[in-house]
Amino acid sequence: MSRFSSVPYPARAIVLRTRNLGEKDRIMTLLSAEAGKFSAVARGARAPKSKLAAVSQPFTLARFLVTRGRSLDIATQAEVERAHTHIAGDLLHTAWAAYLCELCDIVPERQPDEALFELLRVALEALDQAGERDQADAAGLWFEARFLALLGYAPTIGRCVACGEKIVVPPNDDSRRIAFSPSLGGTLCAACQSRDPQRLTAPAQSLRALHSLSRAASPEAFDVSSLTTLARRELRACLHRSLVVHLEVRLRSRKFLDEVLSAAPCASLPAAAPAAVPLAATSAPPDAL
Amino acid sequence: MLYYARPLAQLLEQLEKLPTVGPKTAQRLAFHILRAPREDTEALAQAVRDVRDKIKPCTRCGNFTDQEICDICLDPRRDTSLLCVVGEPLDLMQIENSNEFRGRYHVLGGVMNPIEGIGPEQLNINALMKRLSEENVGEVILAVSPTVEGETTANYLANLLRPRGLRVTQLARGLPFGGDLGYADQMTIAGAMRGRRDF
Ligand SMILES: [Zn+2]
Ligand SMILES: [Zn+2]
Repeated sequence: MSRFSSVPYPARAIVLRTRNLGEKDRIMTLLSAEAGKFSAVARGARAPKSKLAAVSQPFTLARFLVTRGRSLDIATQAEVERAHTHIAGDLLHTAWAAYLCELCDIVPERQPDEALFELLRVALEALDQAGERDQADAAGLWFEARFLALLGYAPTIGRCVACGEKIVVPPNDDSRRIAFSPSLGGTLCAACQSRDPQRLTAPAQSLRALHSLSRAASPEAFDVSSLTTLARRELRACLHRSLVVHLEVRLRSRKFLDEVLSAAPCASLPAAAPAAVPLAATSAPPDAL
Repeated sequence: MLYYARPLAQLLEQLEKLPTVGPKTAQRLAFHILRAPREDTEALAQAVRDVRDKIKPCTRCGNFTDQEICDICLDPRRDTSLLCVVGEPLDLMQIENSNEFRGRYHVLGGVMNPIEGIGPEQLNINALMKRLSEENVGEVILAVSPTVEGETTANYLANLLRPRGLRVTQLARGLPFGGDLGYADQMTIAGAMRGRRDF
């Protein structure tokens, strides 16, 4: 249906953020499968008795009926599909969810992207269900890794991104540090390290996790609890630098997330003996993506 | 573009900056002011000037006041063991006008909003912690709006306050009076269920 027609159009969408408008209204930034990202006004939504009050909250998944307005579209009807009320009940879950929504907010308007919508939907659902820190971290880290992959920046792990040389880590050396280039998009062998002066180094354990997360079908498919606090922090650093380098944005919710994460340290586990010798146990050659 | 004499155009421009005032309303207000008795317009101008010059935040609670410390903070009949934390001075006035609360207040100056970059450091939280060390408060009531931003703020404060051995409470979340359960939304029912009490 043309967005210029006056016939209301339906949108199954997630509320990324809201801003107050005038005295009683809210502007919602929505991410939908059908219409991509767009803004719509929820009239009167700030009145406690408004039917749109609850639905116009961040992280809510709802079915909207939207009318094309003169300057802004207007959500005339809405039915909550998932309110994700548990997210707002926990500071860490809220911090992750706000960060994921802000990441989604960088995509251009009105470009349908069903995969992105689905990614956010699954991640928010996982955050809503997450009981402990590990499950919330799994949802957030999985989203970041998959988001990079969706944008075409899935990192090459296990081979040198510059020369293709296989990178091998001795057994029981999970904490061995390996060069990782966010801008080139993968691990670097010793000979090629100088190709990226801005390279990071991270323990093999973190990079293996990055590899698995980029390919995991859901947050549950990867066990974050096996990562030590340090390995987790370095995984986040690799993901974050990659996002910053490729997206060229500064996310405001990042600082809050960092603060909340450091205030609630995860249980530090002893490093488990690694079974795999190759950095990423890939039978298939690394993705060219 | 409509033609207005310059002073009138300037008045319209200022009026249109006010919330809920569109071009039509601004025009109506401007022409009303233009025809009003001189002493009325003088009083209006003076009132606008005074409110900017004389009203400032109470140094103790953050409420609007024309003194160093506001009337509520100074009132000896107030129950000093109860402290009600609100986002904005307007919220304080709403609670005050309900005539239900006889403790004192603390105004945060907003609520946390991670996506908009509003974190705890932008709010009046250090002053709150300082008050709690100096004043003999037994219960802190978190009276923030039942929104995601309000919840985030309440969770953050609850984490800070609990280790101090204070009673920390939150406004009841429930069905609006006069509302029909059958038409309530998921979030409202979930909140009402969590906040249920003995009959
Ligand atoms: Zn190489
Ligand atoms: Zn005061």
